[in-house]
Amino acid sequence: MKSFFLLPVALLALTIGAGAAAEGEEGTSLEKRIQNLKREVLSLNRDLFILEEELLFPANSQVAVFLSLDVGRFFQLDSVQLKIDDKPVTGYLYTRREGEALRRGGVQRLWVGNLPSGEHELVALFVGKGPHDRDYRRATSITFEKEPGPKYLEIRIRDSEAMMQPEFEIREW
Amino acid sequence: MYRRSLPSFLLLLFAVSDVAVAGSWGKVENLHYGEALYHFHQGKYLDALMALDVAETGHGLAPNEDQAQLLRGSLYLAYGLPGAASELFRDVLDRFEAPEIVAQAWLQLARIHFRSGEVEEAARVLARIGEALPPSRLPQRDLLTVEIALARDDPDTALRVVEGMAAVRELHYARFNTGVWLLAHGRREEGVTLLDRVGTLDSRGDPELAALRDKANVALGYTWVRNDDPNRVTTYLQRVRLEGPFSNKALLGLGWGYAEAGLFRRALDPWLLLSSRSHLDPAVQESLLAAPYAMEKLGARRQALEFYLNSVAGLSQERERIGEAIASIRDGGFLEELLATNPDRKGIAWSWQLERLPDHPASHYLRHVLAGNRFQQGLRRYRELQEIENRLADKAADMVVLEQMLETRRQAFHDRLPKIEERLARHEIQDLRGRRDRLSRQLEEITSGERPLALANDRELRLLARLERAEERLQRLQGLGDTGDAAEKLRLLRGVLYWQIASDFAPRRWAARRALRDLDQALEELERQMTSLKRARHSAPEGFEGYDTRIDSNRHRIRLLLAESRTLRNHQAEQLKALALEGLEAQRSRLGNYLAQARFAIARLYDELAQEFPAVERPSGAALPPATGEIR
Repeated sequence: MKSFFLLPVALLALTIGAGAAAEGEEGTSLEKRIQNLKREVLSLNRDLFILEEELLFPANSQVAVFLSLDVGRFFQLDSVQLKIDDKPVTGYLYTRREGEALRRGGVQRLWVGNLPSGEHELVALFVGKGPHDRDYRRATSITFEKEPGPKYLEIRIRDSEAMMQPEFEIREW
Repeated sequence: MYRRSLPSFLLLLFAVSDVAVAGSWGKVENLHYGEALYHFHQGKYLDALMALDVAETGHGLAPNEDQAQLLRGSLYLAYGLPGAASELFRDVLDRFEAPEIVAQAWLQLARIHFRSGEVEEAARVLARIGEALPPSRLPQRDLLTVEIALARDDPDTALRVVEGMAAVRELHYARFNTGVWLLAHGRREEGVTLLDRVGTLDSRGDPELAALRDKANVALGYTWVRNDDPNRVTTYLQRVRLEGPFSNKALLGLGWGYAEAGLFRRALDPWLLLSSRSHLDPAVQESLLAAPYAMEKLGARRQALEFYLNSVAGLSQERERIGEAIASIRDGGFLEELLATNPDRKGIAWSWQLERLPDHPASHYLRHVLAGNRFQQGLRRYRELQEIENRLADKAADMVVLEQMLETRRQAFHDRLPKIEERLARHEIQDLRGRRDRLSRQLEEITSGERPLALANDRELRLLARLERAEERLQRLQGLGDTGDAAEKLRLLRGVLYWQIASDFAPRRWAARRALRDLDQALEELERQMTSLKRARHSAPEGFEGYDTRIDSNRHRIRLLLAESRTLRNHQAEQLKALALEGLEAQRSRLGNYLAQARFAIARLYDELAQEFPAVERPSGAALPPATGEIR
């Protein structure tokens, strides 16, 4: 009287981690077509991104500001505000996920815009938690020369082991 | 709307991701590579790919080129493009030499081969990894080694690797897979030892590991069901969470553990508990036959008969409902409801997972079908296609915006052009330069001729003019009276004024020269502006000319891709529908099988009871014979 016994089914259902089940011929062909479509979509996305960037931020006037975080033990970034030539250009509030992405080596493109050739001043104001979980506000600035061709600036937040404090600097690329 | 959560073991299907999230992606020395990592670490794989692709066509990715290529390959793999990923990893092997990069490329290639079912090729590639793999990647290599070894029927290699693995997540999967393999191939003791370690792992706060732990304990419990050892069965199956996705299976096994040892009274407890649960679960359905089977064994044939009769009613009802579910799936709309109930909250199609079931007649019967790998993969593809269509539709809208922007630019340029042309034609700079040169010469003459009066200010010039007028008047009055004192006074005043101007000559000359220098600077700035204006006049059309063709061509591409995506999504929907129907039909067939067995048992019991007690009649509800044994 064990004809309805589920045991074999139970054991079969337990195997995991093996490769995907082989699909029928139709499935394989569909899969191939989907893969081709995805590749074409990726290529289209890239072309459109370049087109938009050329139109919106032509190389000669383009300025991009990036932000990176090295280690981040002494500073937990909550928000940042950017001013260029004393005008606010962007403010950004960080989620935990974004903070974690920065800590793991990610570099955020914080702002991209257009500036005329000549001298400009960038000021970045950081708000977050410093050593011992204390509220922390710091600002850093740089005066830079915009020349023809895109200009990249990287704001780096680093741990100063000697000072047990975060350090803020802006680097021109 | 009533919604029910899906069992958490669904998560297991994606437990070992295609993208090796853990581990080091090298020191970031290229902003664009860093930007790709920023998206990648947030699970925004499409954005990460875009950052890499754009950087490659523009500024390049040096000196992170090799890591970037590895990352791109992993992203392609996660995006369901194993062919493209394979090409990229081969490219890494051809172009780069850093041992840790090469080793990672070999590892990824081995995974691709294994997933394509090319086990021998996977093993060959795996052997080339060498010793340079970063430590964070070692668990992935070890798990793959175990999987390949098992696929090649080489459990000893798998066991050796498992023994040497670090205590990380992959170790539990490696132990589980090896343990199940060993059990299935008759090496019970070794299999039990491995599964027991998974079955006792500390999974608090980790639903994925908790489900793995439950699975291991269910496997262990069922192993001892077959070996008539109810104590061991109890030990393992009681570890399974009572409210977890495997609790029904555990209860069923527990009952069988006792039943196999002849302990039918004890077997009834879990089976009766199980039979009171939702009849949708196959384990519950089986308990509807197992419980009366135990009753019969205990001699409670009348109760068994009643139970069978109730089971037949319950199972028949379920079978009818499944029939309705099949009809509603055929009518369509289920897939749309399923996706509407599980919106893509993160905007990341490929990491999207099914978490909730819609309030649809077919939902409950499809729990097991939906949890299956084939359905999940198909659903993911369907979702990806939907996401592709959304993105393409957005891009099509962007093309309109870009076109309008170009038109605005073109219009603004044509509006401003006449003023610019007029300004450029005025030759202002030359006029101003001429005036400046004249002033400069004048200053030189004043300086070389030591003519301080030429640098008198307005007040002094007015005073000088008044003095001259006074002197003229004095001239006219001469002969009319004594003007000697007045003349002397005027002479004195002129002397004082002249002295004041002359003594201030040097600072005035310096100030004049400085003003001239300021004028030079202003002229230079003006000249720069005019040059820039000339340049802009020639380059401005570049801001809008030539883009029309590119926009048109991209719009055409978008249209074609949208059409292809819709076609493929429809095909995919048909496949999913077929899978769902297949699953439902299998359930209906299983229920039919159970019903047949229950009816057979009823008939048999009626016959047996009728022979013993001739008064027993077939129709349910008729007087039943006195119980030959009661279960209380």
